[in-house]
Amino acid sequence: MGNLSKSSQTFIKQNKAIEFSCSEPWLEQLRKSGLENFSVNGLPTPNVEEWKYTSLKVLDNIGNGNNGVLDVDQVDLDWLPAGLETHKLVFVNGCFDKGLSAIGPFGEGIKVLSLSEVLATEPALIEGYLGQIGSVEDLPVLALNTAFIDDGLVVLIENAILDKPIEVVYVSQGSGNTSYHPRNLIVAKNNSSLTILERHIGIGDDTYFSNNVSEFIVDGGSYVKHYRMLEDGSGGVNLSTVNARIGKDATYDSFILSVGGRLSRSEVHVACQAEGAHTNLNGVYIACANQHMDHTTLIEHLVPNTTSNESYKGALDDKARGVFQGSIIVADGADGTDGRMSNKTLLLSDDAEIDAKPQLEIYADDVQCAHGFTAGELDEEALFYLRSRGISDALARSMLVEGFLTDAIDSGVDEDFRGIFINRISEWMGR
Amino acid sequence: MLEIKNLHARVGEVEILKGLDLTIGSGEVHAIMGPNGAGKSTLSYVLSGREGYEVTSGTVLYQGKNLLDMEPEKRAGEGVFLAFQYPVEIPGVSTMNFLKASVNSVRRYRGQSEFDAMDFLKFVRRQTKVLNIGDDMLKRAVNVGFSGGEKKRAEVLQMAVLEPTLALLDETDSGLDVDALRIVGEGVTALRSPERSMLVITHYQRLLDYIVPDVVHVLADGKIVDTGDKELAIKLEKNGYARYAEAAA
Repeated sequence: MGNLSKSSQTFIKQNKAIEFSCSEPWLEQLRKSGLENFSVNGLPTPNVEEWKYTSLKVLDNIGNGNNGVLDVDQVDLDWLPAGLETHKLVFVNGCFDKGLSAIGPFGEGIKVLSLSEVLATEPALIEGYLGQIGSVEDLPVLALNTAFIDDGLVVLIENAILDKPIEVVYVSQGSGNTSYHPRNLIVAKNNSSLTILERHIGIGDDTYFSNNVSEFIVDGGSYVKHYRMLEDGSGGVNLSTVNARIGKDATYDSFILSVGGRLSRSEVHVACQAEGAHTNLNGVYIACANQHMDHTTLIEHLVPNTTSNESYKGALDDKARGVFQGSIIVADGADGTDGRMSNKTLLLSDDAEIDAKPQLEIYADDVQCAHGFTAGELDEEALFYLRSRGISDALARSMLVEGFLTDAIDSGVDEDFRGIFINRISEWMGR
Repeated sequence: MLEIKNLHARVGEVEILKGLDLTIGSGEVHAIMGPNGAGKSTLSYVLSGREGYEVTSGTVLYQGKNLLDMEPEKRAGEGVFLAFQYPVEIPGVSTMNFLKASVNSVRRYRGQSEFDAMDFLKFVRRQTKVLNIGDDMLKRAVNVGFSGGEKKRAEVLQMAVLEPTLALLDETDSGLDVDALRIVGEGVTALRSPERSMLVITHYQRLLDYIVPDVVHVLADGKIVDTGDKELAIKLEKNGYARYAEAAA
């Protein structure tokens, strides 16, 4: 333990001191495996290949307290456009807030509730699922989260179509030493369909650490659409890990807009495990000042005839730094795989930086895989075209940036949700 | 309207325009024809203010003002319009929003009131009908996925709504089939007026069947080497540019 960073040691000490309300043996065992694995190396450092471009040094002085959110009324929880109704679950510094939430009723085959509630009432419901995806040996951040499993979102849906999207809001407020580790579990089976809109929002400028993990099991022709909007406060550090396992003819379709926080890393691992499995991973990142945004993805095509489509676009201004690490692995025998990956970044200032690392590992013969990466300034020809139509240089630039970004919204976001993301981008443009 | 005197311009180290003289009066339509590499597109870019085209000597007066001193957007405000040979694709920006930003920018420059969304739609629809442009095309991103004909029709639409006093048409006929050529040619002809001058740059005579020019110039090796009426264009179509190329060499 002597070699671990101060913050890693704090987490371990804190974890040992907590008495969790649910102490089912299987859960205790799961938390223990998380803690043990985390204790080996602690938080990752840039010496680890996967973390070469993202340093967690910002967490050096983080503690593990949780003083709760003081000014939750500063957040507009009715932010969605009229007509877009949802089942809403609000988590305040990681803890489910029933008073701010509004869910149900649900039809047969659908359960949507907080993890704390499941653990208090029917832990057996999730025993066979929770902690089944993602390896705590390989992912120290996941291991840390696992050690603290206590609250989060649980969705179990079988042979049903959810009537309204599930809206999950994480409200955070730092007070120097706030950190928490929400854990979500979504299981969709037998031709089910649902949409989740996840929003992370911070109050104030203080530092906090949100280490959230979501497990998705999408099976048997089911479809899950997962939207995420990361709007953390300027001191917020958000590590989001998504582990998805996709079964026969099922689809995990995700879109992320990263705009807030001091540092964020969205790490998405998708395993296509049966024929017909498909995933879309799309995203937009917009950063300014000294923000750091990391999007790391791993798509595994493990069996024949699975497909993936991935596109991330970003604009970086001031001294912002972006990281994109995209890996596609096609296993031996996974013929008929079709995997596409693209990453395009606009650098709006000389000091902005993007580190992009594509990686294709292909062990099958009959495979279609393609990746494309670009990073650069605005297209001079397009700029001249707009200016030759009387549009000022400044307006032309902002139209081009906004067009570049909203183009990704058009392809990755369903019509009902486009306004939410486009408005957020417009707001950023006018900052 | 436009008075170009002894214009020399280069791209990088290469001199392309080598002493070009051209005067266009109000309401006149001039055609510039010439072989590939004569400097036709360079002339259109110099007049519209594209970066990278350096004027080394000569003057360009437009309505008595020094055009070369102006930024591209100011030239547009002053009434200069270039229909591009290769219109640029702009993903994520709808044609409608682009047109509105553009029209309101020049209207602001000209001291006219800006259109609101409803008035603008009415204003645009008057022109789209003539050019056979549906609302669907206005919703699509600027030039993205447009056919050759759609791109050129969209250029003429921009010209119509921006109401220029000097329109430069750079190879507007390139990439068009017969039907598209007719729509574009008629669209441009409908925009002729005593206050609007046009400079039609083309390699072939066929566009000039629709847009009948008052004056035809031959540009070769960076200079105007011959000037005549529309009969000159017909002669060129028959005989080619060979004799000018030899004269220039």
